[in-house]
Amino acid sequence: MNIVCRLCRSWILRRRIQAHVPRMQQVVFAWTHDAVLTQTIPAAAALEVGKDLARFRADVTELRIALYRAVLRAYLRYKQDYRDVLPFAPNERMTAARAPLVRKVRNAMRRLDERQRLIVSLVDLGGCSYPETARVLDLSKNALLDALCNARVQLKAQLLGAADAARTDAQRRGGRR
Amino acid sequence: MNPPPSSYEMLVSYADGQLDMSDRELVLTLLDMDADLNREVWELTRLKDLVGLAYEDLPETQPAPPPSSQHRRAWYRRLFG
Repeated sequence: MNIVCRLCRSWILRRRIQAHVPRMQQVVFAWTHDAVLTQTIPAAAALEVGKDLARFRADVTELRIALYRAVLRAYLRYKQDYRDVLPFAPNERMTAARAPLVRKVRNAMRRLDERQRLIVSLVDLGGCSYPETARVLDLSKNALLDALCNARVQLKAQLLGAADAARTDAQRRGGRR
Repeated sequence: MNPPPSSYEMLVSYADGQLDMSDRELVLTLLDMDADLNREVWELTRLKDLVGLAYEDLPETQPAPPPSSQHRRAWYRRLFG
């Protein structure tokens, strides 16, 4: 019975890992803008976490943190070798109507500093909560929130207009006092 | 002691669905009274949607020209090894 339970749990966890892969791919694509890495890094992370399923119970949070930590490690290894994020995914096909908007948003993401880009991707694309994101990136919750707010102000300036962003920034500074 | 979150941080947390029930109630009350805050939340939600939209469709695997194929092979070995 115990073995059956263990096998079932292992099967469920593997299914959960596979269910996370599309989100991880979105996050990695936002970090690297590289089509190949978008496939290979999440696959490697899933493989790495899948080797040690015994430490996870039914807790999805721990699993998600482990997966994104593995993704982050792979990304940092990649960065050690290449030192830069690619400017844009080459050979990408998308509908003509959508392309300008998508390019604008991706360029805005690329202009964020690295930590901000990692945080925005994990929160908006990876579906991580603030505590999960803070644990993945080894940040305090305040540092995370501060970087996230700065990122949102910058994204807003680039995507929704500079005047609105200035107003938000002023409001933000006013709120701190 | 940690400084209290600014109103903008509260709004960002609200838009991300990260506030607990009491803080959410507080923000909802403020939103009822202030049209500017309402607009701010709407813009934050729009930003989140734009980011989601930009990365919704992933590119098909078309290898980008690597800086050096030898370099890349070494990196794959490290990744999978």
